[in-house]
Order: sequence, then C-alpha cells, then structure tokens
Amino acid sequence: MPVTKATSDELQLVPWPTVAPAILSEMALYLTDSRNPFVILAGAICLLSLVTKSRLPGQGAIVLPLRLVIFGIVFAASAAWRSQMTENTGNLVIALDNVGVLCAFEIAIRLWRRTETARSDMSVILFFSGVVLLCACQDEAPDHALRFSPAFFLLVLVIYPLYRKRPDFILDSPGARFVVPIKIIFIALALGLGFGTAKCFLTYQQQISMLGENILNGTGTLASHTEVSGISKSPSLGFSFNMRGSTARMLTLKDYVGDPHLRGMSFDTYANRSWLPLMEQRNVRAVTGQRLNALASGPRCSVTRYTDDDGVVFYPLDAAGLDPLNSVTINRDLSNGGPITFNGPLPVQYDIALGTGSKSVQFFNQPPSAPEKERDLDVPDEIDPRVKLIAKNIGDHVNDPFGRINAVVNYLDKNNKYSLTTNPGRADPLSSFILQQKSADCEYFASATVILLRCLHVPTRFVIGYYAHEHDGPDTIVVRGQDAHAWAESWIPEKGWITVDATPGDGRPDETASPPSISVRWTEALQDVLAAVRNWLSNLSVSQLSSLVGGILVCIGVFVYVRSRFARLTRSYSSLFVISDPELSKLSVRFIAWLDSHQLPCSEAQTWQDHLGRALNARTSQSEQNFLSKALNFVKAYSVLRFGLGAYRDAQSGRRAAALVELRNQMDDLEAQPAWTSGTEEALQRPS
Amino acid sequence: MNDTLTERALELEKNLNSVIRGKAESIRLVMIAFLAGGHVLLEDVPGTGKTTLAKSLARSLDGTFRRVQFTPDLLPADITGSNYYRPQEGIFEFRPGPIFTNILLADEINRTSPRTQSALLEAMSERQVTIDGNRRDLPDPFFVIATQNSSDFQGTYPLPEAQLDRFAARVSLGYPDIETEIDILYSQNEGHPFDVLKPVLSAADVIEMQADIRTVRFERTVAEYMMRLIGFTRSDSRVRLGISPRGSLMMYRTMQSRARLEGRDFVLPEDARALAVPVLAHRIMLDPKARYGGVQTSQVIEEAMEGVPVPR
Repeated sequence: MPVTKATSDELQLVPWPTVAPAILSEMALYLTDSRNPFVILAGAICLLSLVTKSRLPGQGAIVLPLRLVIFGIVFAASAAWRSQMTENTGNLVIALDNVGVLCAFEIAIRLWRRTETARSDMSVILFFSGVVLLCACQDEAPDHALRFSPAFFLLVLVIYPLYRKRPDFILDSPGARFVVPIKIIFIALALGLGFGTAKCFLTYQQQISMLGENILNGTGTLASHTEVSGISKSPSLGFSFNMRGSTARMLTLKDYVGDPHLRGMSFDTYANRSWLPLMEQRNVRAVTGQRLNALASGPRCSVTRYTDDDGVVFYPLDAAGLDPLNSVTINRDLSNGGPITFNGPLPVQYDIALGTGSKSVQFFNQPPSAPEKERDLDVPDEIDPRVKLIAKNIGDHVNDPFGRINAVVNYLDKNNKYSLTTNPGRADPLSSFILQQKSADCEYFASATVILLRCLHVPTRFVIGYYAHEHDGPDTIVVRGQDAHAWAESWIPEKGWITVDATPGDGRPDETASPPSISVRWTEALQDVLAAVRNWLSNLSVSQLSSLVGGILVCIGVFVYVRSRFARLTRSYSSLFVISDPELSKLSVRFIAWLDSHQLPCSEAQTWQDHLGRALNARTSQSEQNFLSKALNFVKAYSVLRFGLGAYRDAQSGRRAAALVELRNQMDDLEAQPAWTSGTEEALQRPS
Repeated sequence: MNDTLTERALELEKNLNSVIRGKAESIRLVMIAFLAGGHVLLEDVPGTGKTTLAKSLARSLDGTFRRVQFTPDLLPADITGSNYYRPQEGIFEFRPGPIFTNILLADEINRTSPRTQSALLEAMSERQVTIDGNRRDLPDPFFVIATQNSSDFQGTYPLPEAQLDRFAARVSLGYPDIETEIDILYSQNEGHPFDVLKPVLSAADVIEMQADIRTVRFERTVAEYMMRLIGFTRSDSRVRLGISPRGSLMMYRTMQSRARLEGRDFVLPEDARALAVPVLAHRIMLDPKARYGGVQTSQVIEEAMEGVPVPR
C-alpha cells in the first residue's frame, strides 16, 4: 500500500479504517432489527466514503440541515412502524433502534464531511460505533452482540494505536483504484479474525469458565488435579508397578497426637477383585453436618485440606467429632459408602475433636448394625476355599479376638513381603496373595487381613486413608499423597472398632515415603502465607476492609509527601547536580527551606533569580521589595561562589573562605527576617 | 574582556537602542550573537527596522556594510563575486561580491534559490569563499543579518533546517508599542537618529571581544544543564530532528556572550534559560503530526525548561 505524505486536504478527512468498526456495528444493528432499512442506507453511505475523496463542507449550510432532515425522517418512520408493531416489541426496543439508526447516520455524516477536526472525528466515530453496537445488544438478540463484539474491540484496538503511531499510513489518500480492494480485504480479514475469536469463545466457553472458576477458587492451574493422592473410591486389587503417590500436600494437622491412621473411607464388600460399598440395599441413616459437630470436650486438632479431588474428610478412628469452620459444610456421602465429605473453598479447615478416649463420645466408633455385621463377616465365594483352611490353621486354636488378630498379622508378616510391584495373576488376586505368599502393597495386606479375620469370625472391614507420620515442627504433621495407606478395622465387643495394620513396617508410608525437596517446602510455605492473607481478608467486614484500604492509601500518601519534603530539604538540590562544596550545599538547603517557610516555594525547573525577580517585579510595597532584594543579593552572591570564582577554588582559597563567611552571614540575616506577608503567591501567579 | 571593552560593547548596544527604539531585548540578542561570532536570522514583517539595525551596527563599528536583496534570479556569483576577464591585459580580475564586508544584510533570504542560499550559508560558516579554485577569506569580523518575512510564503524557498542551524539566533523585532512608535515619529522630526551615530568600536576591538568571551567561565554543572535541555528535545517524541552539536556549541558561545554583556565572568543557568528559545528553537524539526497539530518549536523548548531541574 503506498504510503504518501498527507496533504492538507487529506488531513481534513477521517482516516479510512474508521469505516470498519462503523460497518460492523451497523451490521449488528441490522441483524437485530431487520425491520429497519435505514441502517443499510447508513452503512452504504459509510462504505462509499472509501471510494472517493469528495466531501461535504464541514459545517454550516449543508451538514446541519442534513442532520435535521435525517432525524426527522427516522422519527417519522419510527412512528409509522410503531403503529404496526407487534405486542412483543417494547418501547425500549424501539428507542434503542432509533438511537442506533441516528448514530449510524451521524457516523456517515462525519465520514462524509471535510473539516479541520477530522482526525478527532475518528474518536467520535468510534464512540458512536460503540453506541450502535450497544443498541444492537437488545434482549431479543444477544447472539449478535456476542458475535460482533470481539471483532469490534479488535478493530478499535488495532486501528487506534496504529493511527497514533503511523498517521501517514492511516492518512493514505483514498480513491486510488488499487487501494480500495486492499482496504476492503483488510476489513474483511479483521471481521474474520473477530468472528474467529468469537467462535473460540463459544466453543471453549465451558473450559474457559472452569479455568476462571478454578483461579477464583484459589486452585488455579497450579494446583495438581492430576496428582496421585493414592485414595481411590473403589479400590481394586490388580497389577501394580511401582505406583507411588505424589509429594503434594494433602493435609496439615496441628496439635494432633494419636493414631497415625487417618481413615477416609471404609468398605465391607469384596467382589470382582474390588472393595465396594454397595449402598443400594442398605438402610443407612442420613447424617448431616450438624450431627457431625463436636459433641464432646477434649483436645482439638485443626486440619487443613488442600485438594478436593476426593472431597473426603480424614479423621482417626477414636475421634469424638468434627467441627467444620467458616463456610465449610460436612456431610456423610450416602452415595458412596458413606464417607464424610466436605464442601467449601480451598483450603478447607476443620477441627477434629479428639475427645477424652471414652467410647461413648467416639462418634465414629459405633457398633455395627446387624446387616453391617453380617457383611463384615462375609467371605465371598470368589475367595479360594483354601484360604479358609489357612485361616483356621492360623487362629482357630485362639479363643479371643485379640489373639486371632495378632495371629493373622504375624502370619502375614512372616509369609508375605511388601512390594509396590504386583502381578495378581488370573485367579482371584487376594486368594493368590495369600496362597502363593506373594509380595504386594498395603491394599493386599489389608484385604488379606480382612478376609482371614472374617474366616475366624471377627467382623472386619477394609479402610483406606492416610498414614500421618511426617512431622514439620513440634506440633504440625504434614500428610502427602504418598502417605496413602490401606488397613483393616475389626470389631471387638466391649472394645469397639480397632485398627489392624498388617502391612510390614518397611511397607508403611513412614518408611517408603520420600521427603519433599526444599523447593516444595518453600512453595508450601508461600501458599500458606497467601492462604492466611486471603482468609484474613475474607473475614473482614466491609467497613473494616474500607478502613484498611483507606489506611494504606493514607500511609502511602504520607510516605510520598514526607519523602518529597525530606528529599527537598536534604538533597543538594537535584540529584542531577551535586554541589561538591559541603558548605555551599548546606547553604542551598537552608535557602530552600527559607523559601518554603516564607511561602516562596521555587519549582525545580526555575532558577532562584528568575523566581525572586518575578516576585520582586510583582510587589509594590517598599518593605516587600527590600525583603526580596535581600534574598536576591544572597542569590547573586551564592551564584558567584557556585558557578564562578574559579580561580578562588585553588589558589586563593582564602578569598573563597571569606566569601563563604559573608554568604553565611547573609543567610543568617535572611533567616532572622520575620515571616513573609500574604499576597506573595498571588503576586507570583501574576504573568510576568 | 576588560571593563573598558565591556563598557564600549554596552555603548554599542546603546547606539543601536537609540536608533531602534523599544527593542532592547531583541537588540541584546543580536549583540549576543554578534559577539559570540554567530549570525542572526531576523524573522519579521517589512518596515520594522531590519535594514536600519544592520546599518547602525555597521556604523557603530566603523565597518563596511552591504545589503543584498535576494530575488529568485540571484546567482551565487552575485553574492560571492566572480572573476572577470580583462582582454587588454589578458588576465582575470576578481571582483568581490557584496559578501566581502563586515556587516551583510541578506534581505529576504528565502526568496532566492537554494543554490544561492547555500553559497551564502557556506560562506557564513567557513568565513571564506572559493571561486574558481581560489580561496578568499572574508573580512573579520563578519556578521550576517538574514531576514525573512514570516507571514508571506508565496514564491519562497524556505530555508531547510540544516541551513537554519547555521544561524546563532532567530530574532524578531516586531512592531513597537504605541508609545514607542510615537517617540519614533517625533524623534525623526529633524533628522534620522542614524545620521548622528558615531563609531564606538573598531574591528580589532570586536575581534578582541570575541576572543575574550571565550574565557568566560562555564561551570560543568551549567554545561550539564544546557546539555540536558538539549537532550530533552532530542528525545521528545514530537521532534524528528533535534538540536545538533553545532547548536549546542553555539548555545555555549552565546551563553558566554550574554554573561559577559551582563558584566559577569561566569555563566549562570539563567543564561541558558534566557537564550534557549532564540538560539535553539529554529534548529528543531518537528514530526509532521506535531507540526500539523499546532505544536511550535518554542513550545518544545519551553517544555524542556519546565521539565529539566535547574542546578542551584
């Protein structure tokens, strides 16, 4: 595209790319209000301005009457149309249509007039184009606005800065034959880009909104949704190859002392190699958040949960209750084995009431109902019958349940090894694990414990959760994904449910977990600080928040003011020009302070001589003139020392010293002067 | 410069003020440029005393004065002179042009062709002319007052910025105020003030003054301030061509000249502020957008002065 220097004629034309957003908004208006042919007419007039340089004179006899005629026609047509309108069309719609059409014609008028203010008309036209687009955003047709808005804003964002940086480019003269098609292609490309942008928004609307929601919730894209937490809502016994959990932080426990086993979900039915809750046939009492609140006194442990990929609350078996904090709600999830789940903004915080150890207040340690007990004793048919024989050999000769539990644990410890790599084989993996004394992970050990104890008539269930072992300070325990663990719980009459962990010591998370790196720890510390600030801010009331913001702004203002005053008083005027002579520097600081104290502040860009000279010229009173003359004399003497007296710097330092003493005396004399009278500022503001 | 010379410089200025009434500031600028060894561009409407000023200056110096009215058909040789062939002797004789003078008034310099303009401007900067391979020095002192009419552009060849840069200052006399003009009318009742002018300085005095001015102390801080002013204009987005080192050198000299005329042997920041617009404004070329937007070069200079802190 040829770039020519703009002539004075062309400068009176509105830059041609302004047509693009105007046409765009008018298209939106037409699609919204297809009853109105005026929009097409206005758009055509706008497009024609690209083809020729001919224009109407800017103001006066033609443009103003033209405006009046157009407005009259639009209103008349609107009235005629209103008489035919349907019941569904409201007055607001009609008004918006009219406003849009009037703006469209106003755009056309401005494009077609030649005026010295043509360049500022570009901004006005863009504004009116925006108004037209807004008028198109009627309730009846929001899709049009959605489709056109990105293109519109894109055009404005491209055109306006380009125009400001390269006015020659934009002011290229219209009318040349090969230029018009190029301009149309440019507009078409811009429209295409805009439609493409809109399409992207529409296609990925859900993903974009989810991303935004995650960011607002604090999880953002940095939170690891794909982190392996190790907790499965449907644990199965299968092939595993060195599956380790992540080091991502799952929980932080403060002031927790007790069993490291933090239970999350329990399962009582083994079928098809998996532990299933199978809730459909059960009659589970609904337990709401209120009934999970702490019911007993006793020590409390505060828990912070950082991820919500499973939404499960973890607690020790002997906990007395849970106490959700802030906006967290805790419920028992009836749909999936009854785990206790939470619902609240991350990180979730809740307290665990550790209770006093009495069974009566162990909310979660309730005796199984008859159906539950039946399930907790059930050995499914898929278990190899030889497992029952093994169980019988292990513990049948022991009478008490504790003895049987110990026997089973010892047996597994002796005959099976811990390993993260397991090949279950084709048969039932649990049976194979027991019969073939295989090596496997904690899920196998827990499952085997459950089945063997059931064979010995001890009601037992399978539990998954976390093993809390990592101490971070004297009263804090950090639980990570790699601390996921599985174990069994057995019911002992008069004792209640007890934790039975048959996983060998070297297979428990305290032995297998790898310590997090320093970078992970630092990241977690930073996250904690940010979370604390966020929580603190969210707990502030509106008035408190307003006070805080106001206080911060006041502090900033005071700081800036003090800094500027301090800098003004202490620096040897302008860091750009350092006064090497310390005596002279002090005198300059004193004089600046003197000027300020007498309401004669001198701006940085003004010399004292000019400043005082103006003040002197503006005063008529003899006393004021004497006052200012003294100041001027000081300035003149100061200038000699500051900018002159070159020779005295070296050879005749005595003369310089004498001059300095004299200058100091003058300064003392000035400082002894009484305060400056009013009227100085007014005098200084009078034009010189 | 010793006090005697300073007094005589002021006497010269007084001479000029007696002829050109009510324009003390403009005359001071002309004096500053003259003593700094520069030349002056007078932008004015006709009849404001440009020729009278130049003639008065020449009379006061007891020097030679020439006036050239620039027209579109003027040739460079009409300015510099040329060699004439004398057939009787068979030799070429050089006839110097009007440029060989102490004070030259180049009237309406923008009416002649760029070629002729260049011939003059080259001579102004180099103080010599080369004709047919022979170099000929111009008299010393050599001072050019060029004029152009700021309101008439028809049929003109505006001086390009590179050429404007050769002028130390751009000055405007302008119309006198009413009271002054009445004084002018009455003062010429019995003769023109120019007729009674007496020389107050010799060419040698001027040369001595110009050399002495270079001894005026220029504190580095003031030089930094001056360069920051100039640098501000160079980095301004509205400026396409900033002030050249020639401009900063001329600013340096004129500041020294002003300090001397005010009786100082050292330069102050006030000198920079007083001379910034007349010495620097005509050296700036604005961006077309700024130019068409109504920005003036003097505005750029003034904004620079508002933006750069002054050393104290």
